[in-house]
Amino acid sequence: MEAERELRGPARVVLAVGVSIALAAGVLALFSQDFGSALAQFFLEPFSNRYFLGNYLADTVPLMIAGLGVLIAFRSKNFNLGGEGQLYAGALAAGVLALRLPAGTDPFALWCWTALVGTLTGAAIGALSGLLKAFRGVSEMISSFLISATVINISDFLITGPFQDPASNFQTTRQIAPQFLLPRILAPSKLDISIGLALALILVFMVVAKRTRIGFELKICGENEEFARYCGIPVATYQIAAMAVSGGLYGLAGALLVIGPQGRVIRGFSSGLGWSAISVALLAQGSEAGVVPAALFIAFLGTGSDHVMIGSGIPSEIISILQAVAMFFITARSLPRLRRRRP
Amino acid sequence: MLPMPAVRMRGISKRYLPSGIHANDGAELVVERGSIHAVVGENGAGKTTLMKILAGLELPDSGDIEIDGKPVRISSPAHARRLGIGMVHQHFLMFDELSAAENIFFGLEPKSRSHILRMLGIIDSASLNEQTKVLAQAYGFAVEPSAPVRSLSISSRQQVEILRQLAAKVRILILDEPTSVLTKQETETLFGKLAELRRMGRTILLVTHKIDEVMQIADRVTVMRGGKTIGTYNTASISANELACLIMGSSSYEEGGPHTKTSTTGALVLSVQDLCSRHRHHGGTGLSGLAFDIHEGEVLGICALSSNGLDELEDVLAGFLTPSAGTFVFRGHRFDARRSHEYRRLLKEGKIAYLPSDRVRRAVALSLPVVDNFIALDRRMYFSRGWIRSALAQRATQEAIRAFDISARAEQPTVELSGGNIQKLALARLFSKERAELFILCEPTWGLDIRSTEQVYNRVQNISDVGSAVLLLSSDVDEILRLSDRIMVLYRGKPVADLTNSGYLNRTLIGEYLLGIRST
Repeated sequence: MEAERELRGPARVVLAVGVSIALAAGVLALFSQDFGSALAQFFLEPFSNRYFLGNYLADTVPLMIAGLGVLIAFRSKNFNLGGEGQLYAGALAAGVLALRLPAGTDPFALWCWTALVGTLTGAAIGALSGLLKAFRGVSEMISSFLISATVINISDFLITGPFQDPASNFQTTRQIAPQFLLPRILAPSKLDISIGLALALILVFMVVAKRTRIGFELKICGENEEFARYCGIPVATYQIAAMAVSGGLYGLAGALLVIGPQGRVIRGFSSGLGWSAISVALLAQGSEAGVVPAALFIAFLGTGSDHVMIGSGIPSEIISILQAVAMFFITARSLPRLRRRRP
Repeated sequence: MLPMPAVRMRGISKRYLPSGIHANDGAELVVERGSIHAVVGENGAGKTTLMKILAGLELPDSGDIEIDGKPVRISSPAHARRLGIGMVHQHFLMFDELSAAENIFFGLEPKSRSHILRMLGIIDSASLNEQTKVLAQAYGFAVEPSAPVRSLSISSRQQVEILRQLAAKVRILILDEPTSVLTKQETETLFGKLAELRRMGRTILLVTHKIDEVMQIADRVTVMRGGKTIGTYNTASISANELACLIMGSSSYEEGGPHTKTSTTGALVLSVQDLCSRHRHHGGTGLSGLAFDIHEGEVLGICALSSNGLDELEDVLAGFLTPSAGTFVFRGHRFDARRSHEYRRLLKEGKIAYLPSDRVRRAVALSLPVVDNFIALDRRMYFSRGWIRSALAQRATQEAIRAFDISARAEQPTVELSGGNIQKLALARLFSKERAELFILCEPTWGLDIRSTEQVYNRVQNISDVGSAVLLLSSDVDEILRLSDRIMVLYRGKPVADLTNSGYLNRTLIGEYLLGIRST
């Protein structure tokens, strides 16, 4: 099965990416008045200047961090479907903390604290699903999804209730003081230094997976639980830990958005990000390094469609179909010609 | 004119990528119709790969296949089935959550009697169960149709597998190491059925490395070594000893002698008192009132037919099943057997070393490379302060591969290994540990060839000679008689015999205890 993964994984991903790009072009041809300029807006404009490029790269940051979390949970055969709620709650916790800290706080300390609080919030929600699985046998897919749905509603209430900015017409918290926001690179775009953290995290998780006992034991738990028990690996602990890490990275992604590009917590601002992170993890095919190109691709679909929407008036929802098509091809069990029999 | 052979395979080669190991290298096979044909060879000789090619599970890199004289290219198991070829695997491939009946008739489901339900494609499980009963009776198998196969014992699962092939009306039935999971009596029953099928004109291919079984049941035998065919012989015109020499590629072969006590028994290691547990399988019995002592340098063999408590005893001693009552005394430390974490600590600290009987489910992670599986049990040694010691892991794995003669490379995915080689890997891993005080070996030679079996027997002798206690759980009476100083027999979860192995014991006597005809 290792061989199968090696031969089949990349082919499948290339096919999925290729088909979705071809479909994107097809959709543009169908819906645009001027096919040539729509094509350019979709494929070239995101790279055409510092501003567009920076915004595009900024979009990859939460996808990389949260996608990494989903990947870690996948590896231990835990499926975290609660990313939407974990990210949102992490963002809200971080935002509230940033608004409460006195104006004289050292910005670096504030970034660390908000990132930590966001992470812990997401981790606590993820760990809850892990605990339910380990001790009550509740499917983590169901519980994480349902808990997330609850958390989203509670967060919505908090944002529009106790934390609502009284001066704003939007459903949002107050603005975080500018000195507390992460420094931008490629100004005036919204790209900030958190992209460095995302890449560093990917590197750290790569090393942990390949070189450490924790990574090894997590892998064994995912491959064969009965064997893991035979080896004396505490399977329940790893179940809980994997869900906590996954939730924690979602929470961190949310926190970084709030002290970065967003600067406040707007109701529903992160909607869809949780699912996109799952797409990233699926595209990455179980490899930490694969998270980077996967996030670049998923963010590209989003950015390109935004450009086409503004330039040619094609609704960006059409592009979300393409994302679905890409996922369909990656997760499809059997593909013509690529099918290989299991030994 | 000679009758057309049922199967003719010529020049079959198969290489596994990415490891590049040749599983088959120009192998040949001719099987007469209506015969029982054995395919023998050591672990990794390429027997299973050749059979998988015939069953459409693997595509050969080169070679020709003829079925009933017609050249074919068998592209899938479904295609093989249309040609009348079916295979029962050593590691069963079935739907654990479905019932026996659903597994047997999968893809052939009889539709509902009611017209509307039939139009909706709904399966009438009552008639499915009924047909399973009829089929099982026709061939004399005892299978509970509605039980989920997950809950069945290993021998019942095999019966389901065979019935599945018979339900699909296969003419050429391939059985891969069918007796490795069966007791003597069950083997006799199976062979009776196979002879019956031969009389009905079916062709049977039997992959095995048990020479006595070849001599007993097969008409012809093909010997394989290193992926190549060595030759095909009539069993009537070859002796067991000649066959053993052909398999091993050596000119002489000496089977180990009967049991002789070489070590003296020392201090008490483990005492088990009044052990009770619930049953694990559907139709199993659980354990009631089991008690035994085991001393340094002693080999205690515990024997039972399937569903008589051996599985439950293994799971309790593996720390997988918490008993409902009982007491353990390990080296003078007495504790309640229900406090399973105390027992598991002994396993974790390496004081007790345990070899599982179900090697695919419990002893390895198939998708991981050999080296990962080798180091998985002894992580304290192969990780220093949490970091992997790759060089040490590689070296130790390669050493084990050499010492145990495993046909594999350290980086090879374990799934590519033959069943026997996986077992050798599990054994090598166990014996490489710092010396445990108690070794619990469950069915240690299932699926092993003669040479490896002898190796294992010698190792068991060695660890017992240096003073470790060995608890041998086995359904193989010959093995129990060969290795044990003391023999215990379980019947319906209760001990019915506790005997000293001092020469007067034989298979028939143990068999009577096993069947519950005799008790002490």
